[in-house]
Amino acid sequence: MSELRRRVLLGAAACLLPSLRPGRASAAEQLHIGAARGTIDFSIGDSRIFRTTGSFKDWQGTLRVDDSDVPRSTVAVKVNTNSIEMLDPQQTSMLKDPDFFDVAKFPELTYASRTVTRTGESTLKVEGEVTLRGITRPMALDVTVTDRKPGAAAGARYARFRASGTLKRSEFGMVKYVDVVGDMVDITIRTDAWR
Amino acid sequence: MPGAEGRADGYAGVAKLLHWLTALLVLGLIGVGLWMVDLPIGLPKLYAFAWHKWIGLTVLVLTVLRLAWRAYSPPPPLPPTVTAWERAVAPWSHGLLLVLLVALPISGWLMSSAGGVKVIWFGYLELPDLLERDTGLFERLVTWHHWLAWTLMAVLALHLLAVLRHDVLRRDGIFRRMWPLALLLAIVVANRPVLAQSGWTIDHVRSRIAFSVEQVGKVASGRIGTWTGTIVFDPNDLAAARFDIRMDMRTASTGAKDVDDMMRSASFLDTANQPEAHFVSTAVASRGGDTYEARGKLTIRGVARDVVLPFTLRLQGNQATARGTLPIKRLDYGVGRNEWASTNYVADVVNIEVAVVASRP
Repeated sequence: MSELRRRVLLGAAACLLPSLRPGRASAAEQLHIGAARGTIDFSIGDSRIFRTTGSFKDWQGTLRVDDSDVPRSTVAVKVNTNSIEMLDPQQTSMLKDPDFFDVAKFPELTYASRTVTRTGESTLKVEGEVTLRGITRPMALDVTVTDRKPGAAAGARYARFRASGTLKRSEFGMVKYVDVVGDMVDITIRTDAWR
Repeated sequence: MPGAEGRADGYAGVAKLLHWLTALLVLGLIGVGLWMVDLPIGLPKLYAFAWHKWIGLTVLVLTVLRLAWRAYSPPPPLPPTVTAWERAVAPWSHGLLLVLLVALPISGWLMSSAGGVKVIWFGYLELPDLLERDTGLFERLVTWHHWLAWTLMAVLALHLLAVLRHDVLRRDGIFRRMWPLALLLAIVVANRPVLAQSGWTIDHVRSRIAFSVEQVGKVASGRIGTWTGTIVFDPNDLAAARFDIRMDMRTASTGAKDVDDMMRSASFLDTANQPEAHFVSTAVASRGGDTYEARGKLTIRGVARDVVLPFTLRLQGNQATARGTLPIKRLDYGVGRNEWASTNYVADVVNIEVAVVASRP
């Protein structure tokens, strides 16, 4: 289980934002993020032909926010690869094929943070690893935190996160049409975090 | 000089270029559009969609240019062979086509934006998204694009039927107004009036409109390079006979450049402002045997005068030859200003000789 805990998902990470209130006595907060209150979108970023966007509809994650020791904060996210969705059903089903996400064999995609660094008043940098199609690669996320309410009640919004990062799909063995459609994939996660 | 290029007998070169370029691209768009939607996903489909969008947006740009050109240089008036109801319908169908040529690319662009697909025009220009990604909106826009496309195809079919009706059934030469080769071969093509009603074809090589005038003792002569119009003539039905000939005076030439420049200048024909001369008959009567006369109005340099053109018509087998000479006084039309208003150097009387040779199969 602790392994699972370490795997966080893409966006989520940042959330934690600890140190926004330096004076606060520690006590790490345990928070949830997920598709119920957020989105994960991705777009092929470097095509010279077009740029297309899709989403994952089923995912969840946990955050551990430690205000007193920001680098100890963590984020872990799990994404159901079969929940991938493009507007065009043909594209959706193509992306589930063995050439791409191979959802029959790899039903899950995960992200786990390794380090969290504060980079500004309300921004964080999360370095971590993404595992997709059985291949693990580093991936960094730039996170912006807004509407933070540390006193939020259980189930209520604790903060809003927006995280973005980029990965190369070819590193995960998804090379089909790479020279035409592009390799870089931009990922954007927008989610509430709640207790 | 707005509309200086517009000609009463056809669209200006710019309008023709835009029209034919658009026609070519729209034809391609329709073909690719119908084909691509059912393709299995893969590179051909991806490229087909990309090119469909790029070319569609190109048509949008061309159409905007066209609308601007129409405002600057309105289309030529419809020829007299166009009936009243056609005259009422034509601007609407042309207008509808132009509206569709704007609406289709925009609906496609909106659809692309709502679908989360950013268009990068020919791989160089990244276009802004007009809408946020939205599945429901995307579906509605797909429906719109689909029906707009079918409407365009229907109106285009109508457009083509109208051309057939005029050029094949009625042979009134309306297509020639937009005929693209005129850009390259103005004389050869524009020089072919239609002998309506009887299957006659004008032999444009042997037909001519020439002029001659005395000038200090010798005779200067030349011909009009480009003329076009309608000739309806049946010796057994003179009441229906009608001549309507438009001459491009910018193509009036004696073969000597200095003389031509002088003739086209503001002192004489002023072709920069009055490029066209026009003869339209009001009545054609027999003078016995093979001689006839056509009464009508001749307009030169914007001045209209009543004239009578006597001519003979000879039929030999499947060939008909009409010849006539019309003497006019150039000063009646204001041709010859300032020192040229004097007839000391150039005589007042100019003879216009017309020879029309036509044949039927």
